[in-house]
Amino acid sequence: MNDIDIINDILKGNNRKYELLVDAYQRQVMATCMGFVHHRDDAMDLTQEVFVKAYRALATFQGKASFATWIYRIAVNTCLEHLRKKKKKQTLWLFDQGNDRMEPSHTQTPQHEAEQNELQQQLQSAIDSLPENQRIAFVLSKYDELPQAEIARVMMMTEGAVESLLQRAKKNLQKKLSSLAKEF
Amino acid sequence: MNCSTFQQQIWNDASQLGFAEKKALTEHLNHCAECKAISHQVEAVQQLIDSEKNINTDAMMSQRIMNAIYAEPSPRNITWGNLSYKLMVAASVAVAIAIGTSLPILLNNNSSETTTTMNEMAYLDDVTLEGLDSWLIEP
Repeated sequence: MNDIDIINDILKGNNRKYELLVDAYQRQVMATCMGFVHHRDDAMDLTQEVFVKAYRALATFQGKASFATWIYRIAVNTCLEHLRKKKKKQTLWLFDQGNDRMEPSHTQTPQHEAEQNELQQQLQSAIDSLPENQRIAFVLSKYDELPQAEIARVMMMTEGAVESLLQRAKKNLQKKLSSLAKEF
Repeated sequence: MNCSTFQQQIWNDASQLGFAEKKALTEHLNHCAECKAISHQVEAVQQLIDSEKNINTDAMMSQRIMNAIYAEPSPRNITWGNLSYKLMVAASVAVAIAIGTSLPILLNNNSSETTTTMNEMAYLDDVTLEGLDSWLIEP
């Protein structure tokens, strides 16, 4: 049963079939969300929001793009919307940031752990500070391991444009990371 | 090969390089401090990405999503029934806008437009008369 058949069944009223789509794409959507928010609980909430949004809009899915491309688009837009809302509450967010992000491994000494945690946050900040389009292309390429052709379909641009975005993203990251060179 | 090429290889997943390319890169990293530092940075970024993208989701994640879905009304299929209703609403709005924009023009007796029309009529009259004159004279 392909995605289109599943969607047709759901639109006929068999909403239990949606679980097939959730199981098939949950991992990819979660990876995309992690790439944007770097926090497990936030990413899980966003993953749920993405699937609910997709369900509400299912009747508008025309099958011109694959369901995967469509849901990646919803995931990217939902994450960007979440980050914009969060930016408005930045003062409060910065206060909580230390506890919010991914927890470090517990197999190291406390000092090493703290250093690793700080390094991890700096790396996350470097990714987060990329311009929006570069960041989307970078997340889809590195977190979801999508080929450039698929990224181009999700972002509705040419493959050449995506390649250029990825090159610029890597250059920008390199610049930002070079200042952290001592930490490595 | 120069540093720029090696740095590109580092970013484009060095593990997928061929034997000769890999050997050249390893040799280059042994004596180029700048590329070695970049290699470490890229490795750290890749480690972060791997740890984040492979994070375990809640075992009940699917169920949690499906519970949210069951609370939603069924997604409406686009049938002719609700499509024609939407078209009717859109058509009514379009007619209302058309009436709203054209009514003041129809009702408003604009003097400048009248003048133009009168001038045009006068011009036409002259032309017609000239034509008539020539027609009257020529035969």
